[in-house]
Amino acid sequence: MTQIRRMAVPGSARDRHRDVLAQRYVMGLLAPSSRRAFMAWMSQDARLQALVRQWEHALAQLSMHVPHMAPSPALWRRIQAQLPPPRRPAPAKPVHWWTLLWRAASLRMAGAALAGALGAAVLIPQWGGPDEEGAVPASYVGVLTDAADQPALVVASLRHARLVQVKLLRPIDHPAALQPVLWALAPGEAPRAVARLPDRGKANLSIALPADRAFERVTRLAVSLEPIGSPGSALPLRPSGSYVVSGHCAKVW
Amino acid sequence: MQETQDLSSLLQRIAGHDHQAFATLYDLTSRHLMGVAYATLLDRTKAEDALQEAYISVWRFAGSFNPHLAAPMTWLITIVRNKARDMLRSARLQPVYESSLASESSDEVDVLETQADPQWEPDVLLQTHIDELEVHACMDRLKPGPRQALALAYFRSMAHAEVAQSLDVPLGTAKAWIRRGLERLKGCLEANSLVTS
Repeated sequence: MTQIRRMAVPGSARDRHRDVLAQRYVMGLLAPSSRRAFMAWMSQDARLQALVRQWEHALAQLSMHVPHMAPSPALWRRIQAQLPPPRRPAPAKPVHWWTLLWRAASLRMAGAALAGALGAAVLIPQWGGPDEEGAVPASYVGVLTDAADQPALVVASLRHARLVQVKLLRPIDHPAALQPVLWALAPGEAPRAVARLPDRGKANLSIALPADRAFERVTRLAVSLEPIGSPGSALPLRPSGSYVVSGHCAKVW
Repeated sequence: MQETQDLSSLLQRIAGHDHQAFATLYDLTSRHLMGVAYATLLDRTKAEDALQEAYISVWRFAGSFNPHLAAPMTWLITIVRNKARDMLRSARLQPVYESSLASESSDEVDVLETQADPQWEPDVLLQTHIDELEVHACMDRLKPGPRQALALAYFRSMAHAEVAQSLDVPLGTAKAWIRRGLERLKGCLEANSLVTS
């Protein structure tokens, strides 16, 4: 990956460097590898995000007065065909642990995701029945949110299991050649890939280590988009782009 | 301002998967956004493909729109421009500026369409915006080189090397021109309180 030098340039020169990079990012003038590096940097730098927003807003002014052009009527039909059907009242269903967790997270949207995760822990005794995980509640829980702080993914694992349960609360949009990959983030350590994720729904995913080792020092979980891999293929060594969703990981018991 | 509030409110409803709100947003914005896509791709079919992908993204990610961070049209235009640019590059489409230079062109119809309709020329599009945004005095101080480079990079999504080739200048000059053009534009918009720094 191309490294964007950001430590070697001091003071105002660094600010100018950031501004030029933000400008080129918004214009689509960065090479793909630099773009990925920039996105990774941006995901951790609020000032850089603000610069990008400023450039997006400024450049959008250049599209405010383009001549208007009516798309063909067929376009709307094509778009509609890709939408899910409108919701109908659903019949009563058994409440699963992820539903309770999602509700708990939603109630705590104003607070940090960690608060949501820890709050959900209060509900643990109600989570699963014998059809889920026996009577044993999950030891490690993560509630990941998207850029708008909306819950996007719930992750849970039993202490000694080589398995994580995931529930995507909304699909993660990505190009066809990429797929979402879950990362474990521990302070002072490189990100570690945990598993490739499905596009939607829920899944039980095998992990290389028992959860108490895999998540021992992990404080955050995140998802990046990586080149698609066949089932069982090696996980990436490092994220190639920015994280599309992220959140805290808590040890419940 | 009212329109901005309306669009923001529609996006909030779309985040809750409100089909009616999505249809209204499409009615209000599709003609404008089609123009945005067409300005980059110069092909109706490809522009509609880009627009289709863009609206699907809007449906999926309306929940990530934050009205405190971006105006709704800025957000929508950014999505459409990114889709159009990705389409232009990933499909290895030959943009018109290259096709028109080539002795044989598979996009001959597009070239003719563009040539017949000067309103889609990058420098005309740029001038239209300078007029509409009322930043003539400020932008007129920009020399022709940076002005052309800005127009090609923005409206044709040309990379630095493509701008250099198109204007027959060294790569470094093209980079400097684009940067200068963008900085001048942003400065002019800020001076007219059209954007904040």
